[in-house]
Order: sequence, then C-alpha cells, then structure tokens
Amino acid sequence: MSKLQIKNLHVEVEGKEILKGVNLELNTNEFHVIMGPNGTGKSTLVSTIMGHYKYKVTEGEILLDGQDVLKMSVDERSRKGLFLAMQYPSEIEGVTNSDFIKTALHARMDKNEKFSLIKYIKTFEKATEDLKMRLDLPHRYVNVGFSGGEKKRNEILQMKMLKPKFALLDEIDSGLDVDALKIVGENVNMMKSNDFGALIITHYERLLDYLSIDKVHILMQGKIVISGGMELITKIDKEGYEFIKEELGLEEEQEENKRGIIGTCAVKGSLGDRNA
Amino acid sequence: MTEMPNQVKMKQLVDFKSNFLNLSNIDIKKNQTKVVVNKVLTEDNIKINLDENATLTYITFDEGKNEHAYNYFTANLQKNATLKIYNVITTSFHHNIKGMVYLNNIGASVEIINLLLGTKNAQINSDIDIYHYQANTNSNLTNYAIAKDFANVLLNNNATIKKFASSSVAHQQTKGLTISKDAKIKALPNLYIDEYDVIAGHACAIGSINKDDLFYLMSRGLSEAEASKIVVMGYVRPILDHIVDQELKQTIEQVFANKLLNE
Repeated sequence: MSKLQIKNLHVEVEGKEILKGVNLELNTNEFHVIMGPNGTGKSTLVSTIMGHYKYKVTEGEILLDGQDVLKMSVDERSRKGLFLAMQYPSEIEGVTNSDFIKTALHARMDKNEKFSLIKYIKTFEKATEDLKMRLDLPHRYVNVGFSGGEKKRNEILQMKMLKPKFALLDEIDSGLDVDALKIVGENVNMMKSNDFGALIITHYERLLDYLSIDKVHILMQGKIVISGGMELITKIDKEGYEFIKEELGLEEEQEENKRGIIGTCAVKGSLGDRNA
Repeated sequence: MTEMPNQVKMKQLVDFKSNFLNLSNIDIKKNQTKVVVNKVLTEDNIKINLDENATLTYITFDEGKNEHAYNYFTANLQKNATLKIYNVITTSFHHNIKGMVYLNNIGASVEIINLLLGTKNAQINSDIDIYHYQANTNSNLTNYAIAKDFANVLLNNNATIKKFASSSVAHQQTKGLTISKDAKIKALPNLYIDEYDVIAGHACAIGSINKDDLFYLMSRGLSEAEASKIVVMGYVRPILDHIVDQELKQTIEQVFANKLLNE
C-alpha cells in the first residue's frame, strides 16, 4: 500500500495565488474525484503534484510514502510512481509511441535489470487491444495527428504500461465519445488495486459510471470545501455548485480589474508595461 | 552520383562524381523511376529534366567538410512527373541552396524537404523558387532547421502560381529550433498567386525547445537530457522516413546525433 498526502498546499501562478491551503490524503486502492467550477484550481493541483514549471508552491507539503515530492524533479516523481494524464498532451515528432514507452520503462529499471522485449511487445499489444486503439497508433509519432479522443486513449495506454502507484487524471473524459468513455473508464477501473490509486478530475458524471469511486472532493476558491461520497455528485448534478456556496456561506470572488485585450494592444503605455 | 532504378535495389552509395565525371544533367525518361544521391556539392547547377510520368528522388547530403558548399539545381517537370528532393545539410561553414523548379505541365508535382543544421559560425542560405505554370500542379516545401552556437540560417521560400494554373496546390512549412541565444533562423515565405481556384498556404514556427514538450516527456520518467534529445532529434527523424536506403539513413542519423548531442 502507498499513500499520497497533500498538506496545506498553497500555489501561485505568475504572482496570483490559485491554491489556498489544499489538504488531501489518497491511498492506493482508492479512487478520489475532484470536482468544482471552472478556474478553481483543479488542474493546478494535479500539475503541481507532477511538478509543472509554471506553478510555484509557496507553502505546504506533498508527500509520497513519507518522501518529500516537492524536492524531486519531474522525472523523479514519475519514477517514484506518479503519473499525470494530461488534458492537452504534447505532440512529440520523431519518436513513436512504442519507442517512447520503451524508453520510459528503461528509465525505471535498475542497472542490472534485464528488459524483455518479447514480454514488452505482448504487454503493449494487450494494452492497445484493451483500449481498442487503431493498429497503427502505437507505431506513429507520439500524439502527432491524433484526434482529441485518440490522445486521451494514448494517455491511458502509457498509464497501463508504466504502472504508476498514483494516477492523476486531468479531464481524461473530455473529447471522448460515449463508446471511448466506456473503454477508458473500464480500463482505469481495472487497474484499481493495492498498488494503484487515482485522483480524477472531471466535470461529468458519466465517466464515474464506470469507476468505483471512494470519495468526492469539491474544490472551490482554491480549497477543498467539502468532501463526501457519490451522493455529492448527484446533488451537484441537480443543483449545481450554488447550494455549496449557500451552505458554506462562500462569497463570490471578485475578478481583478484587468485591461481588455484590445486595450492592451492599442494603448502605447500598455505595450511599454508589457515590454518592461 | 549514383543512379538506380529504384531505392530498394540501391546497394551502395558512391560520391556524385565517382561514376559520372562532370555530369550536371539528370534526365529521367518517360515512365522511368530513379533515385540519385549527391554527396559532392560544387558550384555546378544540376539540371534536372523529368519527362511525362517520370519520377526522381534526389537526395543531397553535406556533412560539412568543405568551407563553401553549393547546392544548386534547376528542375523542369512535364505532365504527371514527380520530383522529390531531400536536402540534408549539416555544416559549421557556408552552405548555399539555390533551387528553381518549373512545373511545366498538368499534374506535375514536387516535394522538397530541407533538413538543415548549422553549428559554430555556420551560414546556411536556402533560396527555393517553385513555379506552377499549368493546372493541377502540386508543390510542398518543408524546412526543418536547427541552429546552434552562432549559426545563422536564412530560408527564402517562394511559390508562384501563374494564370491558368487552376486547381494547383502550394504549401510551405518551416519548423525552426534555436539551441543557443546567439543562433538565428529567419524564414521568408512568399506566395505569388495569379489564379483564383487554387490552394496555397504557409506555416512557420521558430523557437527554442518547448518547455511543455520537455515536461510531458519528463513526466513519463525521462531525464531532462533524454527528453531534450528526443525533442531535438524529432527535427531529424521525419526526413529519414523518406530515405529507404538503411545505410544512408543510419549515417545521417549518427552524424546529426553526434553534432546535436555531443559536440
């Protein structure tokens, strides 16, 4: 069993605080869902856990089995067992999916460990079959020319092959049609075990039909404001997020006064500011 | 220069002038298919003539051993002829590409891919002019340019679609990667269109290594060095997909990997 702990996490982007004290604990063999209105910091949370360069942690801790994740480089986090399935995966020309995953597996191996190519090919073929991916997709450059849905399936293919302890799934259901949603949902659910847990960000209930969810967290205004079970999702589906605001007495956040894009371009002074 | 009926049968590559002294014409007869590899680039302007339904793959490879390398060609294509030009250049000196392609008859088509790597104080200039004279002619010009150290790469791409060359297609793409702050890549894409019913477009992206691409690769466990290597070699590999000869392919890959990653 493994444990991922997030303690009082504060994160800012370009000087603006997005996460304002997030606390969360996730064990393997658990699936947690994070929901919340747009712009409340859901993607910020998972990107920060993975170590994205844009996000600056100003306070708090992230621990993986007691080890300080914030001190680890991005690749080290991956090798220690974290995996981020991205909302907008990069397109990498010049390396095929198959070679890419092979390189990533090599990076995880001990120096004396032997790599079995036959075993790799069999596992790879089984995973692509499970995900009902087009036969040529694994042999094409990573995500190049893939549709939105194909890219998402490709993220899950990588996850299946790399076998992380914790997967962070950032809106993995967006861009998927009904059939693909079922395939992806079932494949993620199949992985649930004492060696695997997931933190799932979604806006839609449909993906959750295929996953056995243990806990639901609502992230609003940079904090987890309420946690519960699936009944929370049913209520949000009916009433939106307004009832939470009312119950908890949350006030609307005021947007900072910003110059419009047209103004910024048109005013000479603004250009000076930007270039300063 | 080596001339062969097709790429599959190509066994050994020899230098341009080993077999054909002072040859400066490549004439491909009606319905013929040939592959020509040129590794000795002099000031000669190579004249390429393709008859009806002829197909030529013309590969040039400059490893950068000469202080001044010239890559000049003028091609004339007849009905339904197909010309594929792959210029693979890596140098720390001067290299000039000057190419003129005339699509003289219906259905003629040209694809040009330049893979250009400049290191140290290299100056690479590529001037390519493509003329569409007749209907249903196609051109596709792609540049993959990488500049290291103080290298300077200038790409001048011109496509002209003349009156009556209806239903013609002209595309230009440039992907440039600057690896040091002093390296420069400049692309000047020009499309001169004198007919209504055509498709023409250009795209250009020049910059340093994309941080999001690095993050993506590293988030799968690859070290920063390994991730950078994959991103950089991503500029090299697409052209290799077009080269069937395994020996030449391996040589190009090794030379580029060495210059990009070790030097």
